[in-house]
Amino acid sequence: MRALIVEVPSCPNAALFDVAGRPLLVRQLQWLRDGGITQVVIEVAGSSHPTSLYGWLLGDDPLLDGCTIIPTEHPLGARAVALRAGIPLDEVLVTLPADVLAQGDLPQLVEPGRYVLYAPDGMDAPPVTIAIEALDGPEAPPRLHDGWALRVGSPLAAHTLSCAALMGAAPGVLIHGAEVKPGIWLGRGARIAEDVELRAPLFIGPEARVMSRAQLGPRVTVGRGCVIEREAQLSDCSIAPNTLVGEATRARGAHLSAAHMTSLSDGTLTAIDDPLVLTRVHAPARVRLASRLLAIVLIAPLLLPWLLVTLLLLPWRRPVRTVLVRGTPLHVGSLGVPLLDSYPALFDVAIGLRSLVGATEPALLEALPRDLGLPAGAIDILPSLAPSERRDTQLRLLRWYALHKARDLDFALWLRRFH
Amino acid sequence: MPPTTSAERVLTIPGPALSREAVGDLARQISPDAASVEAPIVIDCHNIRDVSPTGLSALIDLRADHERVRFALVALSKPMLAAALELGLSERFTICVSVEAAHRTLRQEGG
Repeated sequence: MRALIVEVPSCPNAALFDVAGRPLLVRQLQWLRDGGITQVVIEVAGSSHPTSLYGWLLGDDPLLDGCTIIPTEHPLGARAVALRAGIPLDEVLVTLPADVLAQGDLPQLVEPGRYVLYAPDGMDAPPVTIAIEALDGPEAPPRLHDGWALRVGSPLAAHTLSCAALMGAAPGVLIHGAEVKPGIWLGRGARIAEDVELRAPLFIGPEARVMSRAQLGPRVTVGRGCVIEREAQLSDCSIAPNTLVGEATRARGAHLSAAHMTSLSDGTLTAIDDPLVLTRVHAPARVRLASRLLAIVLIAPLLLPWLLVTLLLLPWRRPVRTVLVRGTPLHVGSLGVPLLDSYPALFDVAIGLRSLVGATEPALLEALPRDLGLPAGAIDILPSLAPSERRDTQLRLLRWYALHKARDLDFALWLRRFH
Repeated sequence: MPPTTSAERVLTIPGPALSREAVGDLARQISPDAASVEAPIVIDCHNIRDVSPTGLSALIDLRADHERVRFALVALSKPMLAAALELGLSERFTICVSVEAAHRTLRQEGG
């Protein structure tokens, strides 16, 4: 039997909702695989998903063996997705909405039909119907199943389910960690200082670190690789993987990521532009030493030609100026002489403020799509990256470049400028 | 002018790279045939093992140049699937697993 995981219009990013340390999509695939279903068609609608979802879908996770990814413009529904996946409409299959997590014995569901599953005990949520039938077949009357299912339609719902699973109230949700005290789970490689205060339900993800005198819980899930600095106080929170929560930071009722805080109750997103409060554990990519050395080598021989051209142009206009880009002063301007245009920017490269070619990955991704003209790299790669005057094409290619930036790609783009 | 009911045309990118030149060849195959200019076009990508940014740019431009034509990309290899997800190609192209699936999809969706 095959399965379809179809997107839900009201909840476009459900796949990555964290359920006790694992994304919802992973939990769904695990459940299907436990029931012997390995051929799964996954609809990925739109292009606004976090890049981490694409990275996972394109990676080598064994859970994805046998899976087929169908990118769609918007959620299409099971029938249209099945058509695109080449599944005959008279084939019996499991149709699972992307925001539903179900548990229970899947082999019991081999008989085609519509199964009604109630929420786990103690959780107030409407029942969910899971269809196991041909998309072109007659609609069977619903019947009760003794497993449970829950619509995880918001970060709050995911967090509530996580906490229930940590307390053992959502049977079947496997917690990948060790229960050191009732309701307190530590992932593999997680380290906590001796004087931290932990309250259940709490999950500290693999490789995470919790520093001295921090207070975590109740109802907190900490993602993989996070660092919770000393004296931080968190309750009713979920922390995205690889997030650093700064010293003495206090948060409650929120999902925290590297630069944002999202209210779990109403979804309000607040940007936190202070690395002392929230930031990535791994610092953004820095300008490579080789690029800086090359810039220094180029500065000397180009000095005289650049001075001459600048002095010649000076009576008519001021060719180079300094602008602030997210607080960093960068040299911009054009002499109209291709080889010398990048000269002032070489100084920025030499002192590590910008990359030689294109942009460093985080800077470019954060700037899109607000600022297409961002002077991110000393050498502008846009003409060779997207030799199109369509802004939409340029934006799409810049995003692609931001995800794939590498020395070979930069060199190929730089060479193409001379073609 | 309403869409025609002409059968889909299947064009195969020879590969192994999605380059500007390869997309240029596709564009030449599409443009001269004025009679079927509005027939859906299925682009078979199964040979593609590598994508270049200029090839991707050309593919998006090709789509924009034929706004009234329905396009489908089929048999996406991993690099093409990555590009499709990261570039949002699904907003421009119908993406299917096979030529047969594209035929059925385009016929169903085209009414």
